[in-house]
Amino acid sequence: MADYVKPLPTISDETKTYWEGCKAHELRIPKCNDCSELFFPPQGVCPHCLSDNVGYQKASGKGTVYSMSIVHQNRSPGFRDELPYIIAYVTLDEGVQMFTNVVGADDPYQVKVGAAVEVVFEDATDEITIPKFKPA
Amino acid sequence: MGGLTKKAAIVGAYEHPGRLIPGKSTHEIQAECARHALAEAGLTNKDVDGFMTPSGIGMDAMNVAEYLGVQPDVFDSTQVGGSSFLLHVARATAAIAAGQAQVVLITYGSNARSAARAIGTGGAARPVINPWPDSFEAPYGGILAGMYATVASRHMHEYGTTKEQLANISVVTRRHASMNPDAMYRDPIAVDDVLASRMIAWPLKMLECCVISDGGGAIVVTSPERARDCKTRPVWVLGAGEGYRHLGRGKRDWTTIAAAQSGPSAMGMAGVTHKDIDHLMVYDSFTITVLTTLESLGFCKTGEGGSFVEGNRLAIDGELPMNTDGGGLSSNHPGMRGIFLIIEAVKQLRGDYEGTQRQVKDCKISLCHGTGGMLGSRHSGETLVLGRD
Repeated sequence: MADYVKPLPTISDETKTYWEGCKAHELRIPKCNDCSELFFPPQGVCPHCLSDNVGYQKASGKGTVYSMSIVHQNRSPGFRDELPYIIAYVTLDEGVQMFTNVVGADDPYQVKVGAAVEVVFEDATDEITIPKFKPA
Repeated sequence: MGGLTKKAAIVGAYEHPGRLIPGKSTHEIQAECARHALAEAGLTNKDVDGFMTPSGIGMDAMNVAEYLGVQPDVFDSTQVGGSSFLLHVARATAAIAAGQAQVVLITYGSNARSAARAIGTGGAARPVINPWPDSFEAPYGGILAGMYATVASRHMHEYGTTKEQLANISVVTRRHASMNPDAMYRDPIAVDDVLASRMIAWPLKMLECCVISDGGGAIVVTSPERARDCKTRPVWVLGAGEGYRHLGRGKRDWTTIAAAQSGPSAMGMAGVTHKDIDHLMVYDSFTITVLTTLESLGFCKTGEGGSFVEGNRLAIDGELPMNTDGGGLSSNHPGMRGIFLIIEAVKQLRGDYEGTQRQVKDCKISLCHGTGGMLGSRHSGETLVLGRD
């Protein structure tokens, strides 16, 4: 895994609960303990009500492709070796969208907007795991 | 009418004719454009008491003021992407209306092409990314073209918009570029050419993506009193509006863009409706940008953009001539194209192209809309309504 050359997330105190979940192969959605709203991406203060009493809910890991693109040109290290690859917003069954990759399809053109997907976890390094999705 | 209506006029507008400008710094390009824009109004840098340009790297906007030899009483380096210059015209008008400045200079210069800077398709070594929000996006390789493409895919899925409809935007824009001797690409193209071009980020093909050029421009905004003494016909700011969209806490309809916020503000201030618009300048970073802008500005209903852009409607001899300079799709795109929207609108309203096929007939009101940042992600929308006497 030492040869992972794509950008890695920087983990801060504010977001470590999310990334710790990923490392344990559990997708966690931030949820405000005061107003009960879900949101994404994770942040330490609720963007619905500005409460700092933010917790996490375990996600089902299931969702649908809201929108997507199949990227054919990217000269950045790592990505250039994976062309074409899928970027997508996935709407989780819990109702929030997250930006991600859809991986694991034999042909990326088999994946369509509206398709059912489920989370998979890519262990990028010993410390960092990145959640992605595959066709369900 | 109200707010900023006719509180200031654009009296100078200059677009650098170069599309490849090797050996010139971005500061030189801006100075050259500023000299021309001021000169056509009969002004010099000594008249300038307001200066605006997007921030650049670090605080480069202050360096630019130094380079141009101006000592502004009002300064604005707001950077909201390629639409920044439309916002600057609104800020300049407000400053002039408040009596803070009399002559505001707005500039832009870029050597993106000669410096071989990658705009939107990556190339950089692995950066250290911030914990929020980039750590939730950058690991997935969402290139700029790809983010816009996500909007196109959703629009096609939700409304049945076709790739042929999107391609027609490129075709009409190229036809306009053929009338512009400075345009980077001038040979006519057909829908089949667009569809046969290389895939960049499905569903967007290469000929649906803006060009990468060098370039620059400058605009001079002044008070009604000063405008009377200038050598050019004044072009009035009739209305201005702004809007911003972000990820919306993870619940976002990405097919409606910031133009839905800025457009009604600008048109309401100007006291105009869609049928009053004689000429349209829309930031065309990609074909989908144009389609969603037309919908969100209300020229057609959401979901009907595909059929709206079919045929000849947006052509120079159609009912709503758009991007008559050849746009970012064919003329120039040095990274931030908003200033060129304004320059072309000013020239059309002044009748600078009279006697040529490029002139929009009886052009009294022009609407400019800039999108900055990325559709499918955080973006700004800035709308200006401009008019002649």
